[in-house]
Amino acid sequence: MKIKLEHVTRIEGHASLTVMLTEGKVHSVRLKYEEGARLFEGLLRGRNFFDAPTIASRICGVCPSVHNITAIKAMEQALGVSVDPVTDKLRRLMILAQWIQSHTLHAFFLALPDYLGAESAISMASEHPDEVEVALALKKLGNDMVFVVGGRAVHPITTRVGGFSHLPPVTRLADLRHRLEEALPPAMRLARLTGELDMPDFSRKTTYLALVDPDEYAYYTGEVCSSEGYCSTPDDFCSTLREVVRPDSTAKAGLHEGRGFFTGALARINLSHELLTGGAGSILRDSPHSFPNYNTFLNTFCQTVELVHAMTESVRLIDELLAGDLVTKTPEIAVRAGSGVAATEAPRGTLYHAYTLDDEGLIVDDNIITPTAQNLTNLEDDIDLFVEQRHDWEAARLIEGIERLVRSYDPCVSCATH
Amino acid sequence: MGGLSPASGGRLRVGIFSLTSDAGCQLEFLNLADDLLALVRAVDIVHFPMARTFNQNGPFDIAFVDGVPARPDELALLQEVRRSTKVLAALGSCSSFGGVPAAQHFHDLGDLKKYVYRGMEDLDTLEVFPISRYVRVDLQLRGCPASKWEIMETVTALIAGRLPQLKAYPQCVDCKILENRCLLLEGLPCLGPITRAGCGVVCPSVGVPCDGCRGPTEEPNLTSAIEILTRGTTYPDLIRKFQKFCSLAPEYQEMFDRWRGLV
Repeated sequence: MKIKLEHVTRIEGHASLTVMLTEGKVHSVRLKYEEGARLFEGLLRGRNFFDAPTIASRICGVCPSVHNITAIKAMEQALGVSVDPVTDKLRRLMILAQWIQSHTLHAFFLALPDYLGAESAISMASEHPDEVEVALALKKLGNDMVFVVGGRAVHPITTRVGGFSHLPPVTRLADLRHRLEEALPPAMRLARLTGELDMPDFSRKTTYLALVDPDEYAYYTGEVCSSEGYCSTPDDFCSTLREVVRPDSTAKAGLHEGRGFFTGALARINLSHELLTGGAGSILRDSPHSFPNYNTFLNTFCQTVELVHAMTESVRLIDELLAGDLVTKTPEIAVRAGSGVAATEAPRGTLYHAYTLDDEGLIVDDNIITPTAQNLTNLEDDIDLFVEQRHDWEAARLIEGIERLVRSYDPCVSCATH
Repeated sequence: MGGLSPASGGRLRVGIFSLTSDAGCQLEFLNLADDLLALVRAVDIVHFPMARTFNQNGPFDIAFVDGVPARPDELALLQEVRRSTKVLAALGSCSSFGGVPAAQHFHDLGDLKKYVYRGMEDLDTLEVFPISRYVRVDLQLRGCPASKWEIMETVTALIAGRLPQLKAYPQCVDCKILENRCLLLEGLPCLGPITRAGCGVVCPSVGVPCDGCRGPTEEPNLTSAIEILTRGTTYPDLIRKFQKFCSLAPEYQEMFDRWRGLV
């Protein structure tokens, strides 16, 4: 018998589960991302290089700033443009702000209701008013950071190839710093609580891939490295990564060296946890979990640890910005033919943008590889093992467990089907 | 006068529906922060799969529809929502005008699919159109993303039994009120004069020309606008700008037809 769960709820976008049952027991489950094709990569062809960041931002409403900045970085590489340190710091701040906003959304609004026996964050508000209030304040803080630097919370405005069209007032940055410091203790408390939640006993060692930088917990620079010792530039990695096209799906599925792999907070922590700053490292060490860890359900906890790290890093960056003159030099851009590939760490994993321009600066070829597409093969392998290990469970309980597993990946179906 | 009389006799039943989109507009509900708590105290959001586990079917007093129907099942959902809803609001420029994905009409759809999916063309995908092609739309909350202020205004007005006050005049009015310097005078291609206000002129306020993401204002004088705008940019680049967010707006079609005749 086959049953279809039309909507895996509390994720970004539309995914379904098809469950195959024999004599009331589940023997396999199939996940499908159910959104139409928006064909972004095709629509970008023929556009100006300076329009790509604004258009690419519209791939995702949850992580628009990361698409925007990754597109800008790829374009600057294609055009041989380098930017000054203030520009880099402001861009870093926007990526960290996106982590704060997106991790808060996923960990506390979408995933946490699973573990607190709540139907939604809205219904959590009556039993856990303090936690919901902290989560709402953190979400607002992440949004306000993007707003102050980028000009708008969803889909930034001020960012452009070569720098910024408008710089944030010093007083607004100082205000954000103050709010970050105030919000840090309650954020740490929520992260610790998340670490203590009873997570399903599940472990499957796979390949973990993320940007790695010897000098910091990587998100804006670095090489693509795997838990198996592979390391390369984003450009070389893009040529070895396979995105498998499937006849019945608008989402592609990632393969590296012929296998599925995991990208996202758990991969970053597995590869770089020694480089976490501030209280984030101690929250990880004090938790009942050891790292590297192979339980995918812990991705949500890892996001809360990264939330704390991102807040601490943001304070440091704002201090650096406020210590010097807040001015940027806009470089001359000589339009020419060329190619560029850039990678950053989006909240859900490593994001790649690649563009080739003609001599008028129009896009002739492009490729955008999102974390949710990369993770699809790995998620399917996790589902298969989860089902195999729990074949004697009641169907309803097993399906609920799989929904939690899917949620722990924090999938973004919009990104996957762009 | 009472407000919209609730279908269930109690509070207004609100549904937030997601079709193919970037989900940024429905996320704006969760971004309402303090206003979100006020909102859930005032109405029952009974359908919102992004945030809720249990999602009810109709009837709905207000339905917000984010995105475009890009698959047959999404079209069926849209039609079902229309049947069971009193006031249906298009949420954002995708549902209002097709949004960024609507630029597919300037390409051969088969070629686009082959390019993106490496030769595979037989996707279960519909051509992108605004939802008004399929169902009656009562309100348009335009923008990429939709404005949080307009979301709150819509709910507040419908509770109170009045029409939401959505601005129909051009961006320039609000820009003047804010005493921004005019970007057109600096030779920048700003679509403000022909774009509907309501976002708080966020782009021109930080020195970035309006990209027209809220679509045309009432009776835009496009001929005159194009003449002024091409002083600061080339005609092909201006056309690319109009193709970005609201390319299926009826007001733009004559301009695009003329462009197609030229290339």
